[in-house]
Amino acid sequence: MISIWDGVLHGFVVAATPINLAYCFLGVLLGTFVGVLPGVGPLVTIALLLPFTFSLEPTTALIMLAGIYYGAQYGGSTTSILLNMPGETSSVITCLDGHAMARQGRAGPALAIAALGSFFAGTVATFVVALFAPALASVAIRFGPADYFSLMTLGLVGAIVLAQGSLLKALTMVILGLLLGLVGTDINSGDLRFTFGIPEMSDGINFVSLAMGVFGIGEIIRILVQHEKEGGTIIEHGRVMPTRQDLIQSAGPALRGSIIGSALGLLPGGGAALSAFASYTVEKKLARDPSRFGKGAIEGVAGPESANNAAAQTSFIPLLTLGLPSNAVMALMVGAMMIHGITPGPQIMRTEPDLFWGVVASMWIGNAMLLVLNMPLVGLWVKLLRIPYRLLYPAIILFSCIGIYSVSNSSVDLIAAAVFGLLGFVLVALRFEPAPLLLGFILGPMMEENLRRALTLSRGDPTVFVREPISVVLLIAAAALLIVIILPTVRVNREKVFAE
Amino acid sequence: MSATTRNRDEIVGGLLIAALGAGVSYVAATHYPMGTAARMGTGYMPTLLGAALAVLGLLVTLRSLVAPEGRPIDGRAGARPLALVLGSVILFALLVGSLGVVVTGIITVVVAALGSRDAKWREVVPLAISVSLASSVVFVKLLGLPFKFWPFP
Repeated sequence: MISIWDGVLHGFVVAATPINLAYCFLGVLLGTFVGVLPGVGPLVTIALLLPFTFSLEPTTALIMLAGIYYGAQYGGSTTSILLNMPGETSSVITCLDGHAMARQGRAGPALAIAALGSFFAGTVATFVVALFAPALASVAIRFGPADYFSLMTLGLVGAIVLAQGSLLKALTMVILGLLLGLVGTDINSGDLRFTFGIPEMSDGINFVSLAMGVFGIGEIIRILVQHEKEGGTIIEHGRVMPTRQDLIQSAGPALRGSIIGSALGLLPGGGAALSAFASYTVEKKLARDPSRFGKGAIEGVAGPESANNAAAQTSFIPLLTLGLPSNAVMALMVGAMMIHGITPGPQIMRTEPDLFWGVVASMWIGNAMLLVLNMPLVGLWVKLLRIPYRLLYPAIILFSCIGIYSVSNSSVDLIAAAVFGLLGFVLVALRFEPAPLLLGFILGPMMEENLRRALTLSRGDPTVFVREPISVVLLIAAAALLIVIILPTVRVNREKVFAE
Repeated sequence: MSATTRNRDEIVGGLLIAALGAGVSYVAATHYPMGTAARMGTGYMPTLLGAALAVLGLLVTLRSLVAPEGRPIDGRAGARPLALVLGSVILFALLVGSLGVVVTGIITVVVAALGSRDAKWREVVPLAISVSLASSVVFVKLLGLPFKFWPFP
């Protein structure tokens, strides 16, 4: 095991090669682009670009895909501030005070603080990843199959508890995702399950089809059906540089936001959106005059925008150290790594040091690039906001078709994507949050594998899950989480948080 | 809008999910070997999960009777985008092998674009031609994805 300092240095050497720099830039550029555009998120973009990363080195591919995720956190705030419409779900909260500032003619400083706060948080989070990931991996390397099963159970419970909307529906989505994950060849017996005699289905449902269908095509249909109003008035941003006063006022919230985001990013089901909400709530509680919030308080921009970026980055920790995706975007990253023949897990740091440290170092480089992209070049992104959705979505559909088709040159994957598009639209229309579905889909096969392996090792004795110390702690944590959420007081609070 | 139409979709949705779960569970239990907890057969997990899904679907329906949630799907507004957007994807799947990526791309973009109520022909046609040509050149000529380019061999 190389030391952390050597690791970081090594990472910068890896990340600073021209090809990795170029793809890092491409990633953050695309991330900002889709972040700015309402209705196109990092999830869809990453799913869309997966097929195009086949020919890249895995490290390069992951550097680019990671850049899209945290880049979108920067771009999302621009739309929230100037248009009062969130570019990303994680920037919903920024609409409140960011847009209020814009209406007071302070759009420029709001944009600048969002970018500076994100950069600060990105730097903090990069160090958090570099410091904590190796420690966590050295613990996780001792995990047996029973521990893994319990860990994934905890992950799924977390995803249900922290999902937006109804718990019952989130649970339903997880189970549906688990079932979809079962389609294909049973790893233990080699039997085919639910392939309906279609030979292409023997490898299981192509997860690019699933992700693109549910999150891409389904979302496009939803926007068209509900005929969401376009445009709105974009406020001119004017002078970008914040004043000294702005910077002083934002320092505390940005620091607290970075800490909150770094912590919540680690949680299963957590991530950028939740962190932004949490940070806003904290800032409002701490403020001497909470009534300023919602009327253009700069703290309400600095905190959440820092938090969402920090969380976007630290959510890579469970992925890179435990192999456990904590949210739907990370589930796609698992897919991206598998495509390149890398099984995510604690062994990555030893077997793929280039990948691990390269991605970590690229995060800091990417954040520096984003600062340039979002401060001096913000005018460019504002122009993008003027592209009407009716011209945008047909292009997205075509890119999706080309991408999905090229995964295995088969029309079956595309037909499947259309079917999942229909499913996605119906689910969203009925207020089923589809993110837990993707998590269930990715975690399902891993859980089944570990469950069976654990039971085979214990000769069918199910008490193995409570006899292994790590496993029992994780299961108790999962149970505690479930009990806590069922308690009425927490439930009310949770609903209040999401309602805000 | 009355309360009955407001939760009808959700009730039906819950029942559909329940039916799906029950179906999966039934098929798995009758067609695949179950095995035991120690040596699980192919059908063990799907039977279990299918049953769980059936219960959850019923719960969604039951709760919807008490506390409806979600907007109803506006059938009249929904038909056009649904048919044309999904149709454009399926058309691409069926045509790209014979017509090549440029022509198929144009067809796909036109069909997809017509899914919007705001579509105007004088916008759609230039959009389709430019987007399709640009993405074909980038993805196939530059990135080397294995697509047939033109309709002729």
